[in-house]
Amino acid sequence: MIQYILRRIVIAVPTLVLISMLVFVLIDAMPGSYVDVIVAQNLADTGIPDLTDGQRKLLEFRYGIGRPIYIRWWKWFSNFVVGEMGHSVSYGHKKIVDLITERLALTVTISFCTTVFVLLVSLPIGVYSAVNQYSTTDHIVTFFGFLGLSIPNFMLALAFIVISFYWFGQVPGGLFAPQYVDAPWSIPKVLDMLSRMWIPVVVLGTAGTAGYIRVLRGNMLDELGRQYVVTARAKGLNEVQVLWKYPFRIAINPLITAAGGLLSTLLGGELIVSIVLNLPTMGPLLYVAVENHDAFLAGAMVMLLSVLLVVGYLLADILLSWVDPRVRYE
Amino acid sequence: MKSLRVISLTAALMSLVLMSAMAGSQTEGAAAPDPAPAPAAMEEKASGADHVPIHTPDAPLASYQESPVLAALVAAGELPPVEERLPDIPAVVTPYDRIGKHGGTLKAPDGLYTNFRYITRYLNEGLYDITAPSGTTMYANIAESLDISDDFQTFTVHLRPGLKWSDGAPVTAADVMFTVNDIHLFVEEGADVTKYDVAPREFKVGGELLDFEVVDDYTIVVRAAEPFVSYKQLFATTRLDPTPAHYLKQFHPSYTESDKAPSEMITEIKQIHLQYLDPARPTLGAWMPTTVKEGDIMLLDRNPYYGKVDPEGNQLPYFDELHISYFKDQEVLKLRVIAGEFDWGSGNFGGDTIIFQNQERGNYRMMKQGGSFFVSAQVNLHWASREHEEPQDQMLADLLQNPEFLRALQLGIDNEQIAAAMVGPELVQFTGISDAHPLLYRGAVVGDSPESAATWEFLRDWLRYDPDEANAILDELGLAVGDDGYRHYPSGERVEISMGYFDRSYMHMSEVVAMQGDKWDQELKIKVFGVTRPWSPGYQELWLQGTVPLVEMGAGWGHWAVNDLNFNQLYQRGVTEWVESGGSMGEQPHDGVRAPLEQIYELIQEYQATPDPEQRRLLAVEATDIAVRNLVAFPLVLGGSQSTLLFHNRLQNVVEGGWPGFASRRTIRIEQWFAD
Repeated sequence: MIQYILRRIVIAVPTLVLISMLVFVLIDAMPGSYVDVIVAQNLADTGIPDLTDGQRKLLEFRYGIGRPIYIRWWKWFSNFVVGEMGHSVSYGHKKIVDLITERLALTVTISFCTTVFVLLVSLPIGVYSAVNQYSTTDHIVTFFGFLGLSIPNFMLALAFIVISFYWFGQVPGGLFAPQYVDAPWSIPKVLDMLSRMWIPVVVLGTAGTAGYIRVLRGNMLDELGRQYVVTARAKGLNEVQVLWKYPFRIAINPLITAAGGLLSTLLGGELIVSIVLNLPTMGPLLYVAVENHDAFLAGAMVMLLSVLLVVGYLLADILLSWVDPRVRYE
Repeated sequence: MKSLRVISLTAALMSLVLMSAMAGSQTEGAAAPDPAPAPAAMEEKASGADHVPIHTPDAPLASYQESPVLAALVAAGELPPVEERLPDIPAVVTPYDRIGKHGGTLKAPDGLYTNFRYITRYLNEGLYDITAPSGTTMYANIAESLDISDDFQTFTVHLRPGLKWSDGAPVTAADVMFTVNDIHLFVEEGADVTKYDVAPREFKVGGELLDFEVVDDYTIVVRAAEPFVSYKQLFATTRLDPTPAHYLKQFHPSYTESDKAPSEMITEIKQIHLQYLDPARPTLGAWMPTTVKEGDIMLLDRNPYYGKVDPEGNQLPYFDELHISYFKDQEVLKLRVIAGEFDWGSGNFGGDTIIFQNQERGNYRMMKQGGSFFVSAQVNLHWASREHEEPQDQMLADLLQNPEFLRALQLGIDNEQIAAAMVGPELVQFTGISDAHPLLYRGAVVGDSPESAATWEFLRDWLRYDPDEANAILDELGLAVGDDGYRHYPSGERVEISMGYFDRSYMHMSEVVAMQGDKWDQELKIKVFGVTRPWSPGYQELWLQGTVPLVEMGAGWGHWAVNDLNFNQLYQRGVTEWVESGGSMGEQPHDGVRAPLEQIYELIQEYQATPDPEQRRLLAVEATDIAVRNLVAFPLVLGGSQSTLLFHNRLQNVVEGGWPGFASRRTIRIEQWFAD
């Protein structure tokens, strides 16, 4: 077991270094530089192409534009490893570490709530519709399951916005009322957040819930027909024990693997939803960074997502090998 | 309301009588609240339509009142009394409509910048400002006055004694000099440029940098090597906005040792401390930031040391707080606007049908901002002036430098249709589509006169939509329609033009450009391909690298001759720089535009050295005429409209217009807005 984990960790390190190079090269491959962003913004603001050659040259000097890519990569990567991610040019030159930590807490909170929501809703429904296959309830659940799977999250978010605008005359958005944004944590602040949080949680969780229901239902159906289930029933075990002790444990195996990716998809996958709902989470950060040639911020974000992905799958594998001993003996 | 005003006026007069009785003859009569603005010291000519909103009385007003929020702080001993916080003689702002009341929160969205720059740049206070809508008159804002010598070579800036930063520190000449030397002219070691290279254009007169001399804490003398008649370009813009030297020195490489490289330090000053992102940075603005979450929200409280009052002595601003929210998505922002959540909307989302149609529902109103914005397709000289290997490209490059061909393309553009596609027919009806050419916006400099009539007539005619005439021109150029239904060069290849355009969230640019491409395609039989990119990186690729011959330049603003003759507005940047530098920098223009550009540049030099207003006007008319007759084809105008502003109906003292070119941000006088 320990050897297995160690082996996985050793492989993860060069993977991440390679990813960092790939990330940097890809970001660098975009035409133009941040100085062009400044020129373009200036032009859009004033209509005057205001920067003279001299001013442009000075800016390029200041932002280190034109230095070879491996030097820039090494400078960035070596700093990244010790937690120095540099400054974001697209977010008012703020420290990237601060930008990310500001958003990380909220993102993790939303992700956690969403995961809990997904599991709470999908597991019982999945099991129920497997046990009662082709019943009316199963058909209804299946119908909504497909509906949930096929509607993109952002579409659902837009629908929520339109409905609440027409019915309640207000538009949901943000996670805090302005007076709570910088206030220390208090009960009213938590209540305020919760009253706004359920919309993103439901929106983000819908597709996941629907997917989990389908997977769980399929796996359960596979297992329910197995001989050990028949044997268990024949031995007179009660139905609850039969279901939850054996077939359920096997049926959730693929879900655990899928959960490994959950960590990173929840951080990056809520991009459009966050933009639509105006949430201060990680997704829009990455989007704005890429849009604005913010190489350090975009690089830091993608690296972070990669780390989460690698770590997520590592955790999932460990969890899986613990749940299912067969994996360990490969 | 009316009776309240009478009471407060009476109270003010009574206290005045008491005060003068106590102080003897010192302030006799002079301190009475003056409802009519006194003429500013340095205005060129009074313009009937313009309201000069700020004046400085000869003596302080009799008494000053403050917001209850600040009064509570004074009572608690946390702030000195209002009289001590205000300058010796505070500037008096005459409201656009009526005296307001303290309190409330002004709410504004910023749909463009994560650092809220779109809104916060309205908060910076400059030494002098310019009136709306004509932009002819300059008046002292936070400075007290400006003396100009008869030869326009010596300018004496008088700062306002007793004016304070939001931390209570005095505003002195050192703060202006910090802006000049340590912000604009700072060049770190190792950068291969001179101070002259990096100086803003407004700092260079007659080929030399202006000379700034500090006489005392409140007086700076600015000297120019040649007559500097276009001084408003320097004094009424943001160039000389004071910066808090006493605070910024700790971050500046010229004053502070640090592990950080000088480039890093100066970048932090420019990107953080001067951008309202540092709550500790003292400001002269009406509000100062308390909470800053980049890309999310910014909350600001009133500046207790704000140095302006209304005619009744109420310290401005009226609003206690300002909230700015950032929106990544324009559609979400529009929905919030329609829900009536914001007091003030400025910027491109204002020009939108949905927002226009929902005025009643959202309890807001739209107003014309004045000026015009337009979408143009510009011939990309980075592409056209290059040697091309493909014969087809070379033929197109030649065509695009042929005024006749461009004339035909312009005749094939239906401005009205495109304007309607851009902002919706109702909005076009509301604002009108006139002035949709960068040269056509008739600011005060040229204006309507017998001398300029022919010029405007020529320009109007240029913008005509007439596909028949366009086709006649194309036939004459030898571009016959082939069997495939498209025009071909005499050598047989099909005429194909790629037009670059940009995805911009706030405009339906792709629809506009696709519509024009179809029109040229169907009516002029010229094949047009669209190439689309996101704005910032696309601008570099399509325009600067010159990968396509024709590039859409959306939402441009006419700046030529609005407040002054703006040479670099006339043509592609590198080319104007080439002419300005006498050929040592930039890109050499082709002969067709080189002669007129040089002619105009000489006229501008003469104009800038001519003090007599009438002579100046004639020079401007002449330069404009040359520009119109020779350079008009450079932007093919696809369509335009007036831009709009949006105000919640509770917001008072707002003014229509407010777009006199370079001083646009301040003419709105945000400090005298209030909610009722």
